[in-house]
Amino acid sequence: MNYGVRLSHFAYLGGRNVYSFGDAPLGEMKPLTDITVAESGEIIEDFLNFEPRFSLKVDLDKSSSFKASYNRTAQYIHLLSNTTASTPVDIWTPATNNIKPAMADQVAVGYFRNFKENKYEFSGELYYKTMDNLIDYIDGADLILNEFVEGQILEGQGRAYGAELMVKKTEGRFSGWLSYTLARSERLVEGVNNNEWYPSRFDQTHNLSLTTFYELTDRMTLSANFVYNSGTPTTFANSGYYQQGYFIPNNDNNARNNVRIPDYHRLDLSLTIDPKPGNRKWKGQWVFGIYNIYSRRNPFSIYFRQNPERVAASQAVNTEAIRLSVIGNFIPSISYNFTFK
Amino acid sequence: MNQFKSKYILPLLFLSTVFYISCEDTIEVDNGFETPQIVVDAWINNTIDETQSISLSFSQDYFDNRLPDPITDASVVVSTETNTFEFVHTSNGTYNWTPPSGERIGDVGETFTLEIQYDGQTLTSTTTLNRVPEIDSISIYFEDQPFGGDEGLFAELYARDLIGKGDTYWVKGFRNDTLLNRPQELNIIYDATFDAGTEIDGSTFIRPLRFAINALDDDGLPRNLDPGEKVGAEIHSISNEAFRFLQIVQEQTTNGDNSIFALPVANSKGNVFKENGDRVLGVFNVAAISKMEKIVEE
Repeated sequence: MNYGVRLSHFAYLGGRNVYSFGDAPLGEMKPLTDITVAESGEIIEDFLNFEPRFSLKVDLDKSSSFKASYNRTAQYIHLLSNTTASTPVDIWTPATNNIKPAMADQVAVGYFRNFKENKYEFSGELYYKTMDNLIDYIDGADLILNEFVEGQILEGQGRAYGAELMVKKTEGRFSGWLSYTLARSERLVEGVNNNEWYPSRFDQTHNLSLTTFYELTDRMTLSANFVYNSGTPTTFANSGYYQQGYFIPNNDNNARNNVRIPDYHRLDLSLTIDPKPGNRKWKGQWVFGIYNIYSRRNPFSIYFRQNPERVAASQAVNTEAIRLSVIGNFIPSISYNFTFK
Repeated sequence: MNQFKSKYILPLLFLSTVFYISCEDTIEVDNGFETPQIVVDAWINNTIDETQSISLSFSQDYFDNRLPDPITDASVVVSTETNTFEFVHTSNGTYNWTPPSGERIGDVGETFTLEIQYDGQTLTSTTTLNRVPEIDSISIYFEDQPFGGDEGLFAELYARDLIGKGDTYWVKGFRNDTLLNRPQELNIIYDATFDAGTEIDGSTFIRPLRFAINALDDDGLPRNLDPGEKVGAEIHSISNEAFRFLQIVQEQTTNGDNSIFALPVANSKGNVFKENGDRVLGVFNVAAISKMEKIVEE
């Protein structure tokens, strides 16, 4: 058994403007009421949090065990992002006088077992996590280089739960592991999505990964790697309407994260040739590989747009959803690794 | 050294030859569209003798790529303190009212109320007819750096914002009588600039807005004019609500250009309401218009 507690302290320091905001109807921008200047070194706001943790491991017999854990964590930095891709424009904001630090409580239980004289390892885990003071933004927020972005932020709560399974074969000519996670991550924010739970941008239902190695000879190893991830959600306009010939996207019920990015999957193969044994000054290893062997066009991001053409009054405006793939083809590779003695 | 080259350079070259192939494809997505909503398209003006139209339709799935379903059996009435104007359905969801000869719907400063009866519901909206400045001139000149387009003849619209803050206008450009209606060509003005909060008032429209009466090509670049072509411009006075509405329209309809850096989805907020206070899609605006045309000379 293991337990402990961490005391964390975060201070939002001066040398900057401090903004105060008034009240606004839910989901609308809060009006700026005051700007004061905090001197450098002055503490504008500080937070003190206890972060207890606890874990327990019970050996059931020689080859199996049971684990349980609980922990609470505080995070003093928040990610604000509206794109589905990880782009250089991810915006981070610290906890401030307007934004509380995020708090998370997680409980997990797991079962571990080895089979056939430790040739196979199996593990299964279940977790449940609740989060408070998560942030989201109002519809139509202006997130980039906006000094007053705190007035467009909403606080809410989140929950994430799932199951993780893993099987691993460690010995023999054929080895590898298979892992699978079934998960859900959701948020509830007043003023977003009709005040109903919605999937967070990290929500990935299935996540499967298979990695295998097969030793052809003492020096040659064939390996294969397959990954499959469900698409994460993003927000698209669900309806549209005409106004003076313009076709205007609209989001009924302020839906958030209502569209799934297509699933991601990929198979890579490689052949590794190790050096001949012997006492040489350097050792070289060849690796021949093919990445994304079946040329899957995996999405980096998706977005929607309308045709920019000039339309006549009796003509419909055309719209489409676009998938952007960064690597839409297979990539062969040859690499040579060497070490000097 | 020679040995080093032959043994390592070739594999290193192979290694660095990485085929990065990025591509864009059109895909099908399910956006969860459920219920069509009533849409009110009521942008009218007080031009003398001009027939005024209001259109009623339903919203549709964003990806339907079709014209909307019309609402043909509503009653549409616009009224002022002293007059009532009945708009009569003509075809395909369009309701018309034609002023008696030599007359118009009202004057600057008057308040107008729109009332629509449809399917047991009453939709209403109120707006004021705002003032509009005269167009001073359309100037045609040779420009060698036209915001990314090819050099040539271009037009600029000269008009001076009226003194007093909060005037909002929608400038429509025409080329050979064709309305410039690409989303990228939408040109709205707050006092003489893009938006409120600039301290600029009562001055000539700033240059990007003057220049925005030029047509754009498929690449979004300004297209130059040929001698003999006709340039037209209209300034419509719009309410501040209509300006905010069009500002979001402008942002959202051109958002695809931003691809992965797209702005969050935002709804344009109209000014038509149901009896229970719920907002209906669309806008009611009554504009005063000033216009000018010019033929490009040799």
